[in-house]
Amino acid sequence: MSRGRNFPITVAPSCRREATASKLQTVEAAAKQGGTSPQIEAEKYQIDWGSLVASDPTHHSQSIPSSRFVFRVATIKISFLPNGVLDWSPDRAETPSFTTAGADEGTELVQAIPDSLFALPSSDDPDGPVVLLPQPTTKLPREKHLFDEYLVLSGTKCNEFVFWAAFSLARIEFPVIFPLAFSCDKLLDLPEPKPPTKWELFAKMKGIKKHKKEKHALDEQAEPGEDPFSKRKAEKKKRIEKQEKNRPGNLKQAAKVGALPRLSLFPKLPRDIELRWNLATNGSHAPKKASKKELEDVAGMAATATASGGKFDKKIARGEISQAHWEFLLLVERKGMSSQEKQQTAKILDQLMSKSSHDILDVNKARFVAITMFNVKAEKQTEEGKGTRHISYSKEAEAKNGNPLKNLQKRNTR
Amino acid sequence: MLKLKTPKTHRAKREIEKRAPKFVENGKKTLILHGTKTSGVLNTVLTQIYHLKRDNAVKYTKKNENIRPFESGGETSLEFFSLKTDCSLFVFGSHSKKRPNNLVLGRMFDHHIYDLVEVGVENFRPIESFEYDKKLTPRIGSKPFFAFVGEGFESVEELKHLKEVLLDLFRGEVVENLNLAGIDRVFVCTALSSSTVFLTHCALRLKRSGTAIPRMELVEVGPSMDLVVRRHRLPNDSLKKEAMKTTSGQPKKKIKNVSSDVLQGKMGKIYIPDQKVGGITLSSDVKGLKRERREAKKRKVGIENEAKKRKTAAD
Repeated sequence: MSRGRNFPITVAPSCRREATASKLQTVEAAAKQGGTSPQIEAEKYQIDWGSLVASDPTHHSQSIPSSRFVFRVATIKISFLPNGVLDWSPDRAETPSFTTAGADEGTELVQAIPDSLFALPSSDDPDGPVVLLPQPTTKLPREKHLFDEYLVLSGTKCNEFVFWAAFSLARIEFPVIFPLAFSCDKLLDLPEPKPPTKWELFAKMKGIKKHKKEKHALDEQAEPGEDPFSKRKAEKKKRIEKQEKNRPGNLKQAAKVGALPRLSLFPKLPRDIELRWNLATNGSHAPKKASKKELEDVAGMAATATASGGKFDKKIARGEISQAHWEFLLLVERKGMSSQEKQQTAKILDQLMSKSSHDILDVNKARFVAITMFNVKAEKQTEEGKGTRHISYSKEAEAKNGNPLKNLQKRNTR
Repeated sequence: MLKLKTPKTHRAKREIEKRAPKFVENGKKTLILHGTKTSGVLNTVLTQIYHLKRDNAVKYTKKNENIRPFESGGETSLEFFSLKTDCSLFVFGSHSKKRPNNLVLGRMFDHHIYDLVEVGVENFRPIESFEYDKKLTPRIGSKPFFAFVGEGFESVEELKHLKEVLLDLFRGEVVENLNLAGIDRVFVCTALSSSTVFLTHCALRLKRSGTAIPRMELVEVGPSMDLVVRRHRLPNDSLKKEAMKTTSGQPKKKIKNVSSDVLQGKMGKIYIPDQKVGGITLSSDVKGLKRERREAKKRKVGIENEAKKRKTAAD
């Protein structure tokens, strides 16, 4: 069975509904006056057009519960179909059907409603004539309570008084709702409106409104024929070229001021620019030789140019070459010990052996210790016999006892 | 649903919003259920009522032994079901020796029992027993007409109540626009006596008549039964008042510059426009001007003296 809902549910303005109601009333009044059409007998009945209810309070029920038979009534206007409803044939008088005395009354009543309804102005829909119904007059109770917003502005004085009384006398912030009607299930209560957030307040104050960002933004500057990406590339190239041209001039200016060290800490310039640079700064095409001070400055700058400012790097004393640089020393002759290598090794040896270097090997101390040990030993041996207590190192002792450092020396020169 | 659940999905949130109290409410849904013992007749009655209200009714098939609507403790289950299914009308059928073929028609307000009418069903005739042209069958969801015949509906309290309940039960959604071609059905209720009502459901046939208004023809299609009012319970006054509350529909007008505090009560703000201090004219009697006036006087006197001197000199 298809749904018979063929009326749109729209909220028409109340003025239209009132118009309908008034029109119906005029129809009723016309009927009362003595009516143009005999069909309208609305004055007898109470009709609620909004809910399509007609009631006839004037009817007195005469029916006897036991008798449910058909009986002919003179006021019947409508003829019933034989295959349906009310059968007048005496054969079927026994069978009960729509048979009370009120049957015809019912039909009359029902007739009364559309009598007026069809007289109303109707808007033509493809489904059929649609008529605007007035508000129903029979008041039926609501399903759920009304929430606060609507309770405040109420038509009746009584309610208003209740509201103001509760509000002002009882010092209650919100209107009083009768506890009986209060729902125990919080889900049914309307939630209170959320307080605006800080941003919302700020935006309101400043007049900031939300802008919906479009995904596709039309690029107004773009011309239809060109490729913007290649254009961008070309522009970038131009910019780079320009900068390159400006760069020496900038550096010159900086050097004039003294913001740059004279030495080239920056990567190599193109040859022609370098020559020009040299000419500008030195007066000749050759690069200026750096003074010791400058070198030291630069070295210092380089040393501190690490992430931690050179703090954790090993301090290399002046003149010393770090271990890493050994690899990069030029080996002039690969075979055998070349002069440079020789020099290097000799140098190291000198360092080790030199009297001034304290931290590598203190040769005198070593000699001293060795001699002491030797003499103590010798003393022990000659302790029974009278041996000399004093320890001296002299040529005579050496001749006697042998060079105590002989072995030692041997070890050293290996 | 007794504990507070917050919706975690958008779908759940929408469902809850549908069930929230609104100014213009959704159509009332009906819950049809029965107690421990039912009779054949009663079963048919319940099913046929369900068929009449197919779109907006829920039918339970289980036996509910702890539902006794008229007793104080026996309505908790009903309220729970109403909450669960969001139904504010219910039809509860039961059969006992004392009350054969008993139907309790009830309404809920905020999922608590609002009012009840207990009726007994007699002389029930199901849909199948009527012969009619199948083309006339009213469609589900069409808006019915009502005809209440009899003075009892105005004078007898029980019948008045029953009228209201029947109206609520079968009315369907409240609509503003009605398609006149879609008028299908009518419920005819006749007050046979002070306690009995004959209810029948008929299809409408619009016959062509001479004028623009068609002739109505009633064809009995649906179930017809005699309802004998046994007992009823009206809502208490405060609840009734609460339920019948309506407003004009406009949300409250914002009253400006009035605020209320729990401690201080109602407070108003008065905005004073800026005083134009520069533009205020000072009165001539101001004390501060005394010196000025004095000096002005002196100068004046000095000028006069000079003038006199010149005069005398000239002389």
